[in-house]
This record gives sequence, C-alpha cells and structure tokens, in this order.
Amino acid sequence: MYAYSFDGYWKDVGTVSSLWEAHMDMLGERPALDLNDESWRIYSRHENLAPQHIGPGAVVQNASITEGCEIHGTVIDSVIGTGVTIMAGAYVKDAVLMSGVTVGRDAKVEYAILDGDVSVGDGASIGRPKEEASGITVVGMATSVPSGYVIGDGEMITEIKEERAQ
Amino acid sequence: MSAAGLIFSNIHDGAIRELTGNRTMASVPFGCRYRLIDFALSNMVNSGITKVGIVTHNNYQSLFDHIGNGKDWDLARRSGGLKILPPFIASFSSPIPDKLYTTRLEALMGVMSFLKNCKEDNIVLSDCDAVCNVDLSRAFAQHRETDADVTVVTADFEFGKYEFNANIVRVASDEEGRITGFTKIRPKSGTECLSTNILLVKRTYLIGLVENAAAKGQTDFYLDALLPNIGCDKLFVYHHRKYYAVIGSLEGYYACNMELLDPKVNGELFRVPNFPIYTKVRNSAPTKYTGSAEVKNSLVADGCVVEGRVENSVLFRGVRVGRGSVIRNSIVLQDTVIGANVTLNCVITDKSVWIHDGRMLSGHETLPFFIAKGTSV
Repeated sequence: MYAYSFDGYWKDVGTVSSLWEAHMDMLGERPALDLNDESWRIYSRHENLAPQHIGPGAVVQNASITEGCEIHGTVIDSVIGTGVTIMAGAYVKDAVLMSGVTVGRDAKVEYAILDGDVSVGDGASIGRPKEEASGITVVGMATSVPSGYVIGDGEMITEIKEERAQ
Repeated sequence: MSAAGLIFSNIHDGAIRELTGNRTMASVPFGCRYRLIDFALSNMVNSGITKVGIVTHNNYQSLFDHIGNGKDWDLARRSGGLKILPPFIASFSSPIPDKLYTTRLEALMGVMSFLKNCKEDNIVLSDCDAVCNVDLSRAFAQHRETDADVTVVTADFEFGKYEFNANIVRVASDEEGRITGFTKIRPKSGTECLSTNILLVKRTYLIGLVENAAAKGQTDFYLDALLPNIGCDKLFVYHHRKYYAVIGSLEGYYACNMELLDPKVNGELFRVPNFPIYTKVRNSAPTKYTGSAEVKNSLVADGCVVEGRVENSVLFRGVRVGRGSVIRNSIVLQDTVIGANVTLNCVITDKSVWIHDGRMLSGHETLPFFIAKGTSV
C-alpha cells in the first residue's frame, strides 16, 4: 500500500462556507482553481443559451459570468451561473448565484449563496456586507423573495410564507 | 406535411471575401458563439424538420468541423439526419470539365439524387447569408392552406446602412400574397421586400423546375426558372415580420453583429421561447472578469478572460483582453489574444489573432479594419 501525495487544488465543499470559498477560488488573476486550463478541461453539460449581455449601465469586476446572463446592475467578487438576470440598479457582491436566478431593480445581494431559480424582488435586500456579516446567507431553490423584503446575514431560507412577506 | 431541408453553404461566399478566404459563408462566425449556418439549421429543426442536406462547393473544412455529425442540432439520426452533399466535378450540369457549379440551378442539378430519394412532400431551401429566427411551421401552415407550389419567405430590409457586394431578389406580390414579380436589385437606399432565399417548394415541383432548367440551359433560379411560371403556378409569399438581416459585405457583417447589442434585435433572434438558435457547444469555462475589468454594453461568449476595458463590442469564445487595453466598437473572433495596453476601435479580428502589447488599431464604422486569421500584430 502506497500513498500518493496530490499537490493540485483540492477542497472539501461539505459546508456552506467552504462551498462559497471554492467558488471564490475561481476568481482573481491567479486563481487557485483555473478552469481555463486548456490542457485539463473540466467538462459539463452546456445549455444552448444566448451569449451574455453586459448592459450599458453595468459594472462587472472580479466576476465569473456565463451564457444566457443579462447583466444591467453591479456585480463584484461574485460567481454567476447560466441564465441569470441582474437588473439595473441591483448590487451583487461576494455572492454565488446559481442558474436561472433573477435579481430585481435596486435589490442588494451581499455575502450570499442563491440556489437555482431564486427570484429577488425589486429593492429586496439579502445578506450584509461580508466584513460585518455573521455568516453567509443562503436562499433555497426557486424561492421567490418579494419586493422590498429583507433577509438578514447568516440566515438560511427555503421558503417565504405569505404573512411574513407582508 | 413532411419536409426535408436543403442548405446552400457557399452561394454567397463572394459577399465577404475577407472572411470566406478559407471558409464557407455557412461557417462564418457570427454573434459571439454562432456560425451563419446555425440560423438556417435551427429554423429548420425548430419547425420539425429532421432531414437536412447541406450542399457544399469548396472550402468546407471549417463547416465540417462546426457541424460534425449534427448532434448539436439533434440531426445525428438513423433515419434522415444530416446529409453532406459534396460537389460533383464535371457533373452533367457543367459543360466544362473540372468546373464546379456556379449557379443555384446547377447546384440543384448536382443534388438531384438527394431530391429524388427524399420521401418528403416538400423541400425547404435556405442560404447562409440571412440572420433571422423564422417560425417555419407557420409558413408551412400557409403553404398547405394555399396549396402553393412555392412559398417564398420574404422580409422587409432597409438599405443604405452599408454596401452590398451582390444582387438581391426583390419580390412583388398582390394582397392575397400571390407573387407577381421578381427583380434583381442592388439599391442604395429605401426599404424593399426581399426574398430571404428561404423557400418552401413541393418536391416534385422542384424536380420538374430543375430538370426543365437543365434542358433549356437556364442559369438563374428566380428569373429564368420561377418568373415565367408566375401566371400558371401557385407562387406565394410568407412575410417574416421579425428581425431579418442579409449580410452582403464586410461592413454589413460588422453592422449586423453590432445590431445584436440592441436588446430588441437580440430578443427576436436568441430569446424566442421554443425557438432557440442551436450551435456547436464548446464546453468552455465561464468568462472571467478580473478586478481591473470594465465592461459596458457588450456581448461576451464563454471562455474569455477580460482584464481591460470593453465597450460596445462583441467578444467570441476564448478571447483574452489584457490589462489596460481598451476595446471599443470591435468584433473579436474566437481565441484572439489581445495583450496589455492595446487600443482597438472599429476592428474585426478573425480567429486566433494575436495583438501584442501597446498596439493601437482603428477603423471606422463604415470601413472596419480587418485583421486576417492567425495574424500577429
């Protein structure tokens, strides 16, 4: 029995924070995890979506964005999945947005993971700036966050009940 | 109503010689991740056509590389699917040995066995110079209702925005949609009703048309073969009202790519529910923007790494934009590497161009500066 010492990128993504960290490892000029390495490609299933459109008023810095996205707001230090729409005035920082997420006008998403098909209503606020937050905010699959709704730092939400929404 | 498709991949190669030097019009890259044939193929597949013949002439390496076995269009099938129809040299259509076909009619004569072997009642003909997302099933419904021999898909097109290197077919019709005339034009301005060169034709009628043309030595499909039949046969138009553009020059290619930045155009082409435009999937990683990136009003494909500024531009797959570079109003084809502190304005770079640090290149909207495939600047 021999041991083989692997010296490449390895990360156990079994917790919310390590999943978030692994996403952030893809960003930056010298990323810990380089998906653009032509000699070692990572294959996946690709949906046939239109090319990403970065709108006239968009701000995109240190981010990973893919096909089908429509970006009109601000995206900083974030990983954005397929077919995500970020409307004008929206602010997304330190976040991981899975496929099909919609972020409404003037909404704010900070230090959070939004699972697939989550829709964030206009002016809603999810999480708090990373420096001040107690933890990562997580919003579960296909949750619809009403306009103006506030989800605090470190919260884990899988559904929003009607009465709480009002 | 059953139909098979037939796509002419080379007919308009002369329109943009810069890009068709070593590829067919069909495989000219367009809109970040597409090739022009994707529109013709997707329009057919989206209306339920599962058998498509592709007529080739020359320079088809890149075309074969793009379409492969047709899997990405769901055309890799046991029955039907994709049929590549390479040219016959010195075929019966050509009086001079070793000469390939030069007209649409000769091309059709060369694929007569495909037309005769098809079991489908109709053939959809399409070229590769049109950019449009057409619901052909609607055109088919009309084709069936009117019991037409030929239904020509027409669209309005505004001239004057850029030059054309080829003649275009104008279609005149009456209120009932019956075709009353064809004319070849090359207008400088004004809006005209054009043939998109997408035609729905009864298969037996098409065979008759081509055989007759061969016997009489006719050369022009519209003027020689179709025009004399206007009085006696059922020739109808189906008018496409959504976005349509015909690429007739390099300036046209440039303008048409730029029009994709208009959300209305983009929506009518790429975001029509149930009518996606399919293309070869490359499996690239998502595009990465670094902290120094600044991107405004641009279309970007996957697999890019952007460290500089990009404005009003179209970036294809695998493009790199170095730190401090400013790319404006440009079309950057796949795998182009742009170094640091480069300035580009109104430039089209073909595939795999390498622009070294500090270069400044500029064209004009009416005369974009073109850099050939694989060039190092």
